[in-house]
Amino acid sequence: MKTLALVGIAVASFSTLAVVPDFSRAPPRWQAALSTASDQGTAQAIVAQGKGSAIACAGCHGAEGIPAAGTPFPRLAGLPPEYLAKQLVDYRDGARPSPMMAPIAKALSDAEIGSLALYLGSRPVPAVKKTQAASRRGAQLAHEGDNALALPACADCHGGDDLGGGPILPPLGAQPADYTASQLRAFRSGERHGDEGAVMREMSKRMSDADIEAIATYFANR
Amino acid sequence: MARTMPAVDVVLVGGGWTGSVIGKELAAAGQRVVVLERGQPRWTSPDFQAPGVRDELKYLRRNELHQNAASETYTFRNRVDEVALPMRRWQFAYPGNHVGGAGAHWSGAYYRWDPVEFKIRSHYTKRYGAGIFSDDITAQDWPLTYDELEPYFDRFDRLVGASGFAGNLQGRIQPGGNPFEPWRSKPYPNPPMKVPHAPALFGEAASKLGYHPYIQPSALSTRPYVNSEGLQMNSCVYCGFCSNFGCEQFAKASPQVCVLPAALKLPAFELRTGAHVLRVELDRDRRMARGVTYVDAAGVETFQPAEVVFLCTFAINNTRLLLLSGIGKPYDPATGDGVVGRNYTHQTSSGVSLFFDEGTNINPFMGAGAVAVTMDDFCTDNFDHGPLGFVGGGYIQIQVVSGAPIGNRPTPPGTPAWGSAWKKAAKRYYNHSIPITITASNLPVRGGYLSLDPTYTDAFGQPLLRITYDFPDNDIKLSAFLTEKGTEIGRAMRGVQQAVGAPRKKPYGATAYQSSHINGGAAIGADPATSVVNRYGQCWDVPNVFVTGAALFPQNSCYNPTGTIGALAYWAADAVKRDYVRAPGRLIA
Repeated sequence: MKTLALVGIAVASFSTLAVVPDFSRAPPRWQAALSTASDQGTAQAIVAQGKGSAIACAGCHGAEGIPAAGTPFPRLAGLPPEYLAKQLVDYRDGARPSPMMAPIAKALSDAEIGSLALYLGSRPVPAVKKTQAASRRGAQLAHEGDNALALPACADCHGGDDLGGGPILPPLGAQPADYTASQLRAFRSGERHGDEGAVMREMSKRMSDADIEAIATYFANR
Repeated sequence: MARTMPAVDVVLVGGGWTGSVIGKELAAAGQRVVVLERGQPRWTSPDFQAPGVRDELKYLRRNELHQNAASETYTFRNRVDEVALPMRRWQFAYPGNHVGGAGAHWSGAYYRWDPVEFKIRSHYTKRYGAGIFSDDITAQDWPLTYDELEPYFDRFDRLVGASGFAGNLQGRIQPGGNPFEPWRSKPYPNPPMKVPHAPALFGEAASKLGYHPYIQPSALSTRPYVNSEGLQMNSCVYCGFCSNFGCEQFAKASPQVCVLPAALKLPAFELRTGAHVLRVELDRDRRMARGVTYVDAAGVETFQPAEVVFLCTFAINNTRLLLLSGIGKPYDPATGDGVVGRNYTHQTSSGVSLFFDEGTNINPFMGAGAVAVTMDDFCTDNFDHGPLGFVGGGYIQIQVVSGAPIGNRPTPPGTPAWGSAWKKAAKRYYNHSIPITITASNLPVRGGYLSLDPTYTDAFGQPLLRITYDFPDNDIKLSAFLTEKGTEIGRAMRGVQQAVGAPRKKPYGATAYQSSHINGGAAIGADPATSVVNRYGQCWDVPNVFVTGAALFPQNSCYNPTGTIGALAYWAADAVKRDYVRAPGRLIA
């Protein structure tokens, strides 16, 4: 009986200390943007004409989400709407700092962000003109990783056939090399920090400038 | 005539967790070390990269990282009056092979054993009277305590990048953690894992019923982490390919991620693959080992002389090497004499299948080997065993291990096993079902033991290891109790339409997976009459042979073994560095 009483005390003290745990996760903010998306017309208007202080997307990214050749702007056509919405939310919140994009994202409502993401995501992916042979290093980092640097292959998450790896893991192909390289550098410096678990920030730290160029060139030609 | 290699100070048999950790420690202390691994090199890049590594058929069904059952398996029977037959394919457990061993294909569930586990016989006897143990049970106290091992648990935590939230920091219960956790000197190096939907629902229901659910600790890194060897681990991305796969992300702690790259930089450390050890060679009076004989990748029999031998193979394979080498007296179940092979155990696992409404999406493919919400309210002696009449306990949890498409086809009871009705149910429930898993302790019995099989041999002509075991009634009662508790929680969970408990029943079998935690045969102890090795894993009869890993467990805890195995590895390495090298060939006091 004595032991029983002791157990009773122990359990009671746990109960008074225990915080009733909530194991569920709050949904990410971009999900709210997507779920309040309105119509395609809204998106088309913003892409073509802009909205208030938000200048038109088409000016840099092209009317169909495909930037002009030779520019450092990313293609948006065919990217997952979830990824696009997350980027606009990150621009707005500062997780992805950009003097160009922050004011634009701040001028947009959740519903407009969602509408743009759905519309641009639905545009067809451009055909790639291969301008440069893939370097061996680029192919290695993309598909095999580097054991000594503890770098897994890009394709593990971003997709083996450049199809992307899921809603917020964008395909990397058909992006200007300058754009991909600038983003790897932004992750490396920590300036871009919207990546969950610091996955990209950490891996890019272990990439040399030459590695970043090799990866960017490899995917630009895919 | 066997070829002879240049002599080394220490030879370690097996390139898994303990061989890698101890080999590195001793090489760093100036010993010339060679680790003999029977399998092939396996490195995260390029071997474990997508898409190749995400192949359920290759890795799980065809046992890519498991011991090759065609060349070496176990024979199995329940009782001594039966004839044992060989397991032709792995179903009951997955012994490891290749560099990293089972440490490459494990799930990453990461626990410390409870202090009670180390003094099981005396603790239960003191609290409930000696009668709580039935006569057939040979459970025995360890010759060391949790408190002695704590610094070594901590050291292994920092090697594997353990993730979790401390429930008991230096004796103080921490709100939000597991209140039943053994005390720890320091917090986990990394925060707990993210919780998928099904474990969150489990935690909600368990809390409402007054239990104390918490996020299971894991050896999957939850953030970028530089470990105690200066090696980089990345954040887990919850890809769902942990159990039976190599981790593509450098996130799951494995010897090839956490130790070997540092060890291989030491000039005194060599890792030799394709080296299948046949036996430990003893000197003429059989008091000391001279080294080991192995067959190399080209089939050449080779002698590796060494001053010290460490057996670091997968769990009970160490027991087989002792028997093949004539080290220690084999256990005889008829008389109870002898020690080698005694105290075999597995894990008393059971489950509760849950079937949800179609509005509850489980997404079983979004997970990780060790991502779970767990509760320890019924572990070890955290509850009153008096009225229950059994010893031991188990944890109850929902983990989201894998939605792998071949193996994961849950259907409710009564569903036909094939045909259109099966297809319909398989489709209906793939995303709306997950089990509650129950992992319980397992006790050794007098008639249960490991021995050399009199009939069947391996590819090298050596006798296979024979397992003779059946559950004691104690564990069957325990499983019924825990499975009923699990079923109650399942019924209290949101979205559950059906909760079907399946407690473990006799006989113990070789055809159903029950965890890869097979233990014993080289019990650690204070008395040579009931143990094979002393508190440092040193063989009583041949003091320059050390045994590591789960072969030492006198009985199995409800907790997964790797944390305790890692702590024991550091503990043994320290004892050798500190004491053995000063008085080689003597038992460490």
